[in-house]
Amino acid sequence: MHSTTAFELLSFFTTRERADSIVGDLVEESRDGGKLVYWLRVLGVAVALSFERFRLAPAQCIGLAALGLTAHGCVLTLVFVASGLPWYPWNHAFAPGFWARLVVVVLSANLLTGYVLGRWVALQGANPIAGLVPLWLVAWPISVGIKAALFPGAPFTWLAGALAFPLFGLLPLIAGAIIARRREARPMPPAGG
Amino acid sequence: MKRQQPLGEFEQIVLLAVMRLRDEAYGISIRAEIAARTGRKAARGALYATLERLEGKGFLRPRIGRPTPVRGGRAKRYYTVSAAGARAIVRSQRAYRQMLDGLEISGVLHA
Repeated sequence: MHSTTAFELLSFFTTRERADSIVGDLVEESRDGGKLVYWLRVLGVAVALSFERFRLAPAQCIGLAALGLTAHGCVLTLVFVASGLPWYPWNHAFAPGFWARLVVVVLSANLLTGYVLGRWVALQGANPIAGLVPLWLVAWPISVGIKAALFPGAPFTWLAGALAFPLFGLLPLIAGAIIARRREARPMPPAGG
Repeated sequence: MKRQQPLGEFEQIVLLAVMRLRDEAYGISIRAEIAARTGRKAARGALYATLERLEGKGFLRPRIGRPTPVRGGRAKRYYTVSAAGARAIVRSQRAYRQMLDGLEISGVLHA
């Protein structure tokens, strides 16, 4: 049931001890269900716990979200410049390979942001992801709403946006943070070979 | 002295479920108890968030059980209601009763 990944995910939003018992509960409950049901439950609990953190300490979460967004902006700019994509993408939207390159840039930037924040978490003991996730979850329906208002006759545009937001934004961010944490948790090799 | 926030409805339900389950209260059993008593399927996320909040307020005391294979080798987190939690639930229930006292709702007079 990939309980280690679920544990890493939930431990962004609660203590590792609590995350361990919650994953145990979800594994126990999901014995007869499929993987999809299990993961939907894991994500549901993660979302609820992230908003609970926000409710309990809004100022801290906003501060962490600001830090996360700053890191994201820096990483996105670096990856964008490194990719050689044009600064005014709408003029080049029909250039061959433009959209594929743009998706790669966005995915890489989010993965790298998650990794950077995950490393920072390991060093500082705080968790910027916990602030960033509720912010993005709120931004998600808002961005879809704006697209729907701007392009009411083009449902494909805003439906694609609705899917793209979590796939290209949130998931790589969390994946990057989990990879960073796993690297931190890896035991040191014995000295002297 | 810091004034205690009144308990919300779901917080009261969770505390009462933990009291009913005595030493066997953990995530799954609490959710099942709430469903059996109220017919309400509590969202897992809401339940775990509420348990964390009540624990933070000092109304619940956790105890870690033994890891079991059926749970992927992970331990249960059992809860018991603390003395402060019991006082909080009594206070909240008293407030409800005082508000209902002498009120007639849909032809039913609450004494």
